[in-house]
Amino acid sequence: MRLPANLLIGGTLVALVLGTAALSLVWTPHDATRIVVAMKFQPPSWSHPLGTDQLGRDVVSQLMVGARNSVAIALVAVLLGGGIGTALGLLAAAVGGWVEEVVMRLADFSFAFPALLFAIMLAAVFGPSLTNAVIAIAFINIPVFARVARASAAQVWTRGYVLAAASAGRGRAAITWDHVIPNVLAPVTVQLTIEFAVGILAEAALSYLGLGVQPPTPSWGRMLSEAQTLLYLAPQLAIWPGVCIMVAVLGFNLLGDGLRDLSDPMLRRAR
Amino acid sequence: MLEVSGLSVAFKAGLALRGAALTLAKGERLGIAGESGSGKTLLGLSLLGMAPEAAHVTGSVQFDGQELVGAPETALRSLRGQRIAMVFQEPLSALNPLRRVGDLIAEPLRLHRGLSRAAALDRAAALLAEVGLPDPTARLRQYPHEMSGGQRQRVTIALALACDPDLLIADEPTTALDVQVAAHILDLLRDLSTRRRMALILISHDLRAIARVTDRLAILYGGDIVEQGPTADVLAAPRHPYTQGLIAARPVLSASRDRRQPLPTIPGNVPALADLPPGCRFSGRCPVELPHCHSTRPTGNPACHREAT
Amino acid sequence: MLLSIENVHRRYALPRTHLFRAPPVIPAVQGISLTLDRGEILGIVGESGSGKSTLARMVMGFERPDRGRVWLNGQDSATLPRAARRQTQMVFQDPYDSLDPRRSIGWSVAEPLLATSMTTTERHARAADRLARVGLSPADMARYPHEFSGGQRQRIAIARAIAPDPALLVADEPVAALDVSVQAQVLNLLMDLNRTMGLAMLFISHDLAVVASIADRIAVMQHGRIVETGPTAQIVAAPEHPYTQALFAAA
Repeated sequence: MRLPANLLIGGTLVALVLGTAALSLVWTPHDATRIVVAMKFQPPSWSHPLGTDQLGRDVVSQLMVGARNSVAIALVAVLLGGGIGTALGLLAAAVGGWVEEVVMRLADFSFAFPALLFAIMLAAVFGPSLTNAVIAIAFINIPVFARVARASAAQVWTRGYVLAAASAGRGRAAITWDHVIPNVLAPVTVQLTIEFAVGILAEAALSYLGLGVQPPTPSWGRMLSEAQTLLYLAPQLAIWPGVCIMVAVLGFNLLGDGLRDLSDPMLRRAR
Repeated sequence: MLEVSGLSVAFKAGLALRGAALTLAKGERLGIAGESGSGKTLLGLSLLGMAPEAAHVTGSVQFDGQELVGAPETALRSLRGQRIAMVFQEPLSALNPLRRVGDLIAEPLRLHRGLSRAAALDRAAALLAEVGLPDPTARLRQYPHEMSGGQRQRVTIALALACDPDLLIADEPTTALDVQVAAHILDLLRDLSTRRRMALILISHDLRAIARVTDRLAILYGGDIVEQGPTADVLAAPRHPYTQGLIAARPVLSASRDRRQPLPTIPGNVPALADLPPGCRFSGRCPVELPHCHSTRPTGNPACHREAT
Repeated sequence: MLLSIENVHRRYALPRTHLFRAPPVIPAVQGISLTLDRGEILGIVGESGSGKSTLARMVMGFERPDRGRVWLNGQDSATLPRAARRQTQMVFQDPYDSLDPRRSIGWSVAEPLLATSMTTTERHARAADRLARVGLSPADMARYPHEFSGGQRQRIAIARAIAPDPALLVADEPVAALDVSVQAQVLNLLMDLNRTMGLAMLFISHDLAVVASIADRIAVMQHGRIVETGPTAQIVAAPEHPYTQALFAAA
């Protein structure tokens, strides 16, 4: 079977980002947080392939550790929000009635609320921290997944095989577990990949605003924020984290599209 | 008027239509019967040069002396809708839901005949009356969703008649309809063909529908025309084992039937395109199979090795 | 008496057309009474909108009647516990919709037994036996629905329906989506199960000829009411109601 091109390109980019993040756990060219003021604003060299920043920290090492932090935050937050949202969506579809109404109207309500504004509010109330950033990103994902899961699950609930299961004396929980979940896994997985991209972007935005990862922990958003004041002096310091964010977001988006292309014709053939 | 010879349609998985040969005179009514996977819909589409892109079409389709296989798209498009029209199974999907019935029918008239809007609407009302819709002038202002399934199918027929075609191809026009409504639509198609001296090809899985409308009948199985002839003769005295099985397997209303007896059946299932036997397509399910049936393709009418001996 | 339907009514509310007006209502079933004995096949003929599918859904307990009662084995179906519902199984029209594409055939056929006290081995053996009964091979248990044709899938759906040894099978247009040459096979299978397992059936179809070929008794439905009922031979030989006669003329 031929794989869609966007799946291959997206997969490669994602693998690159994840690989870099994993590598940073065991090896970076330099300590990403070590400040050597004498070495500030070094141009690219063998020792520092992308130079150093205003405090003499190695840019490549910071980007590598930043990849790990950005991906980890996005992953944890999206999986958390996705898990809760999917569970709510499945519940709404299985129970119906007022439960479904309440869940879906809450989802509508939170959609009407700008996500970043919510994160800023959270930070204002509880203070900026990594945990609050994760909670904020997770929270904005709950309605997204609740909708995707409910829409897909509601379709499954109308199928003949679900009626057959019901007439065999199987309850809603058993039907959800045995029939609904396997059949909504594909759309939810596609949504997960796409939301990872959004999550990485959200982490960068929050850290850029100083509401996410706190110094000295490096992250792409923080690097951008610090580079901003030096834009005329050392533009390369803003360019590299920007490129990294772009590659990661593009990669996850392409991967999500590719998975969708792959799962659609497969489902059609299975019918 | 229509002459089809050696028409084959190949897909990657195999030949979905194998050297079909048919003729149709002006005003004649031909039925094409077959089950799913027999290639009957593909045959209908190929006559109009509308086979799917993945298909490789060879052979010849001559309409009034003009070759349609390999003809440029512009030539085919001017034939379609004007001299050859088509009616499909699902009337709702064939009608633009956002347009009034009158405008739907008037559009081809204005486009192809250069009629004014008022004249085209007058003509549309006449067409709706011809297909048996009461109060046609009021109908012009209705939307498709305001009508019942049978009324919508009448509208698609009126639409097909707009440019006075010489040939109407109807592919399962009554499958989505209730029994009684279906009978009325079939009668309408037959009457229209007689009145307008318009040739009709009725494609259906339902032998009852075909018997009700057509003069001649071609039976399709696995991409082969296994038997053709006058409809009444084929149905009364089928000669190909597949036709015999098909007719016997059809439930018939009979007060004398002993319901403790099983119904006659054709054993097995319709094979997938890639699994069709190279010789007679029916071999493997045939009750009177000969040793060479599986490998050698039978010719003649009926296309059966038994018949040749 | 296995099934007794007592003057059931069922109406559906359509979506509201106006904010301050009561939504329009469709009366789908308007006062139907029927009985079905053990081992009997009752055919229901009617066109779309006659209420025949609504009737089936009420017998299955998918829906409650607005008025009237459905008795199964002398018990009111409205108060029937879930385990007792296994007495009634259903076969649907669309064989492409009635099997979970992500579950193997063996799993699907054994599913009705999951909520019972049977062990995994017993369930497996039962599923293999039922597949064999409908003319498939127990070796097919590991395969998935997309590997089967429409007729085979309908056999699998029937195997699943008879897995828990039901007393009543509700078949709603079970052959309408099948090819002619396969229809007769499935009808024969149903007749065979009726004979060998004593399975009673509510056989619903728009096609009078199909119903007449399998049913002991026929009830003709129109606009939510039964307009004529009687033994098959009698209905076929001398249909009395004009609507039944019209169905004959169309067939």
